Amino acid sequence: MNSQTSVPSSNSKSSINQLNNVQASVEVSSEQNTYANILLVCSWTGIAVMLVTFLLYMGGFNNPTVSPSDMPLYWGMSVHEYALATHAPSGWAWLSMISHADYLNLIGLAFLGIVSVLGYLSLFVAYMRKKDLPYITMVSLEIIVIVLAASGIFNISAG
Amino acid sequence: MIENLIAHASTLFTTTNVAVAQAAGTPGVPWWVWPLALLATTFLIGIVAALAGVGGSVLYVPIVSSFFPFNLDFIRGSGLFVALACSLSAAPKLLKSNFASLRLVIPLALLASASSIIGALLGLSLPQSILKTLLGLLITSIAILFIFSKNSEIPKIGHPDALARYLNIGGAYFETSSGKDVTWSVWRLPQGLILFCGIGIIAGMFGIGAGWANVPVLNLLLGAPLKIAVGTSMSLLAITDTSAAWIYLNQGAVLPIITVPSVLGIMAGSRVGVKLLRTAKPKSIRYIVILMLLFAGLKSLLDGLGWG
Repeated sequence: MNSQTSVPSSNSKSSINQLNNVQASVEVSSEQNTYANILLVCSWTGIAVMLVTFLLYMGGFNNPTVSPSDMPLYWGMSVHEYALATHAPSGWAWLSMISHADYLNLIGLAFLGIVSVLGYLSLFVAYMRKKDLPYITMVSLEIIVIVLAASGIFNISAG
Repeated sequence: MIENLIAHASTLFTTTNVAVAQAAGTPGVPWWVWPLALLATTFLIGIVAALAGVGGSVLYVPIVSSFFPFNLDFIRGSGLFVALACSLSAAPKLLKSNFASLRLVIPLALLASASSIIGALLGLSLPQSILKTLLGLLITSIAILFIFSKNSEIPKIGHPDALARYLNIGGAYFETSSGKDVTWSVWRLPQGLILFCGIGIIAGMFGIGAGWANVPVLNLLLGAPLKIAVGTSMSLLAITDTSAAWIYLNQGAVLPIITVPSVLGIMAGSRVGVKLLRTAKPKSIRYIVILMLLFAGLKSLLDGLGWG
């Protein structure tokens, strides 16, 4: 069994060599840094949009299809019953209803759902530059998985 | 003083839940009480979760489904967004500090996120009684896992397997407590990949994130140091939960009046919790979390079986 290695900050020649090797890998890779920056900026943007649109909804602005005060009539229903009772759209049809405050709220939430794809696109470019084939393949597949999930093709019809 | 604060927070948490439970049986409660109560509850969940070192949504789904009048479909949809938002806001710092490795995240996330779609579709298809029973069993099992699991700070591992070597998975980070750089690698990656398929299905099905399962698998099976396991798990959730969150969003199972206060409450609470963590001794909080999980898990189980 191997122990994961701890490298002390000693002055011995071999330790310094070992430390130099480790410090090279302690450095965060440029693609990881870029990915982290994208996540940071985009996630806070999404949360800010979510907060503003929610305040509009709670304030009664933008003509919601179901006003907050009527929500107790519906929030105990299953998602299928709710869709039937409120004529709620499925898939991306909500985009055509963003003039209503309750659907406008979904913009910030949907944005949070594409943050990872934006990050992965940056990784795709970085791995292409490095010609890192296994990671190009995995990153491409991940983008496809998320895009398929977001596309709305996986749909459960009301039982 | 901090211990008093924690004790007060726990008392407040219990009081809030009891008040919410009483209000749930009172039709005359004004509508605006619910989002406010949800904001307060999730704020406290955020504090407790950060102090206990667990993800917020593992507490969120069972507690909110036990005490609030919302349907489990919408709670699970919100739970995924809670986990997603927390992960997205925490991951950048962990990635920049090298406490998370993208080379480890990417293969695990691919299988977990694909599986979480299956989990979400299953979760939206099954009858509520079965889901509540399964959720009860799952949450009770997680509580038992928390009691008995012993994480290892820096596990001893054998030779990295061929796949881990091929993907060049490993790295190093600076351990402040010892003043040393720690290099690490993983082994048993194929077994880990299989387990992450199962974790993805559970995460998508119940909307509870997956940190409770990610960390033990990364730490105890793959042999990643605990800090790397926690950081990598947090970064993984941003991807795993995204796929499942889209399924719930497209299905209409995300109600802003439930999701937005929950996300804001947990994020604010976890920031307060992290600040308290610097001076608090959170071991007792862990026991409170275990008790809360046991209570919520058993309640969900009894509800699901029609005995609640």
